[in-house]
Amino acid sequence: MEILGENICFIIITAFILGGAFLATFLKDITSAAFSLFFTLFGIAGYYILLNSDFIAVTQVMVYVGGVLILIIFGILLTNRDFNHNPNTRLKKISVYLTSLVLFSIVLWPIITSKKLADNIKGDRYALALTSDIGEALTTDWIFNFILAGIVLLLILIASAFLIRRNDSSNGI
Amino acid sequence: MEFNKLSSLVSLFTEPGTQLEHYLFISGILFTLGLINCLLRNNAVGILIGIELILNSAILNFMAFWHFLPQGSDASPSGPLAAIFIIVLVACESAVALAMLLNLNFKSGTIEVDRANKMKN
Repeated sequence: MEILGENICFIIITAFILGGAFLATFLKDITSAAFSLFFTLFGIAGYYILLNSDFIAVTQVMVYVGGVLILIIFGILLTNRDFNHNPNTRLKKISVYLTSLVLFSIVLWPIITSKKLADNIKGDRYALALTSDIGEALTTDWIFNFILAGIVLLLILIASAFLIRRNDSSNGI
Repeated sequence: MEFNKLSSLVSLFTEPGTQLEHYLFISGILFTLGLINCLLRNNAVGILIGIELILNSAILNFMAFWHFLPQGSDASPSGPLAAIFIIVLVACESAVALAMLLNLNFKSGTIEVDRANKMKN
């Protein structure tokens, strides 16, 4: 019985991801939850390296860890937190846990019962995405989606700037 | 109904190499945790954290299914491209969410979703 380094890396990364996700879910303090999300996002970048796609790993680190997480922390720091909110009732907690358990079972069911999955994963051609492949696909077959993503980003930029404006004079549009 | 795939989940500790089920299992756990996060938090930023977890599990599913494609199938990098577009959407969503949170905090003085229940005036 031999274990590859891939397995050891997977187990370590999984420990990071699940630890960060559990802390992000069950910590009371929202700032600690946001900082523990850091471990989850970094661990998922490690998964992408294990899945032979370095470009997506770098994108994950740049966009998620460098952008989205900083935005979340800004959102925490710029809004005022009051700690006298009403906590969740026991009934709500139990119903939420039951619903999540049912949904997790539904997700898990095809994973542990499907036989087709078992045949497919034995193939020894594992996909590999070079950065040049991704660039070539983006400029040939996926050019429409690429341009659409650019337009969506521009629209979102304008919309966020429009949303955040100070509307002191009441002549808003 | 056979449960022979449970051995495949255990095979992480016995056989070399990872398999599709491992990634799907972790992705399912992340989805469930994100759902609990969305439903139990009162803070709007906490709900945003839950949405990030759910979207990350979706991207992980795309990448895992693409990486373990069967032999002889299309070799285009469709999984990474889907991941890129989802990441673009996540960036948009976070920017708009931050703008809305600041606006909500400015207008109603709180971002607790139980108490901020008016849209205008």
